[in-house]
Amino acid sequence: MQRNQDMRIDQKSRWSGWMLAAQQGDSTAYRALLVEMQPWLARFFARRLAWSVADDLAQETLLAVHAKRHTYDPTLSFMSWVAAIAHYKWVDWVRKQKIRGEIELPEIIPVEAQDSAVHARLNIDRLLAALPPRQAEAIRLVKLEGRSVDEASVASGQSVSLIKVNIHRGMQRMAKIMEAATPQEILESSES
Amino acid sequence: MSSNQKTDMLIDTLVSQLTPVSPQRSAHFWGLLLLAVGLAVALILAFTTIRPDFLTSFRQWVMGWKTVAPLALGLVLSFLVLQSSQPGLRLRPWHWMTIVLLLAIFWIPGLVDYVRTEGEGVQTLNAAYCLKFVTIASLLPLGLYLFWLRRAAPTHPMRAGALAGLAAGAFGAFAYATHCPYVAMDYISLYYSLPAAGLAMVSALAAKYICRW
Repeated sequence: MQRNQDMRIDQKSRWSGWMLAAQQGDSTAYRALLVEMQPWLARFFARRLAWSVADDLAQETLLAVHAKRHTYDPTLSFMSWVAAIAHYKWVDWVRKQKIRGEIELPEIIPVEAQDSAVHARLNIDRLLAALPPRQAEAIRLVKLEGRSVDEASVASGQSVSLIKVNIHRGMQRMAKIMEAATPQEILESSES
Repeated sequence: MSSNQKTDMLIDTLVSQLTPVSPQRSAHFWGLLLLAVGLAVALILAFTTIRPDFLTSFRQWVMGWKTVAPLALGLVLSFLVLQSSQPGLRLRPWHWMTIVLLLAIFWIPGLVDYVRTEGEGVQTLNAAYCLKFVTIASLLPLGLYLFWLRRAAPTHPMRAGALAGLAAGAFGAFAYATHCPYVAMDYISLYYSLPAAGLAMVSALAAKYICRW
């Protein structure tokens, strides 16, 4: 436990130092930072989404870190900075899926990533618990269990149109909850 | 190509494109803001005139109220714009409480005056003139905020844009107060606030599109 904490503190100060050097143009430090950050980011997203998406989002976040590296203030926590960027990319991805009407919750549970899939499921369960029961039920039946809207209607006793409305409203509310998460909460959820 | 290979290629590309950058400093923001507000005041005075009794007018507390309250609001909102522009910094409840308190300081006297005079102060044909100049004076600070937000990395672009619009409106009101001869508080509360509300909406929408990253 103590060893893990020491490693995290070591990692935080190492990354912060590398970023400072990168801001001054040190490409060796920058490469080391990106190489170490990539798996951390992939895990961050895999706790929330399917692995296939997590890798893409990790790459997008690396691009964002590159484009916005001048916004890192060395007097502030590097981990909070990078976690906020990753969180923004996650919320942005969810919002885009919502616009396309094809929200995908992490129902795909890859065999090689059982641990992350369990984390993803725990995060979703936590989000669902914050919704009104009928919205949570509609999302659970259709998005997590993969039932059709008609089947969900029979199983829940809600009409077909109510199922659709509840999924839509529930997704909106979940996106708002995700957006409202504080940097500390984001970091805690990624380190839990 | 596997995902790992893609990531390796991406890292190679990013490293090859690395150039030194100057970290974004809040001192730059405050310096530019001072310049923008100074220019806004100069713009108002160039198009209109400073009120002849500008210095002596501060004997009336209304003059102090109508200049200091928007100025304080603009400064606090600017701080929040700055906070919103950087990932990892968050707006805390006391930030919002300060905004509510300053808005109350600006609106409550106007509301009381409105009730007391039965809205006599707001019934004027000059309102369009004030609205126009407050809006014009707000444009320079607004441009600065949007430029800053675009360069920075706001994680809530619409909220940051709305705060920027309000802040710009507050500074516009401050700049215009150097010329405005009115002392009716209901007039000031209403017509100094309307441009800020409009700019907040426009700026929130603008930020949504120009601050994508």
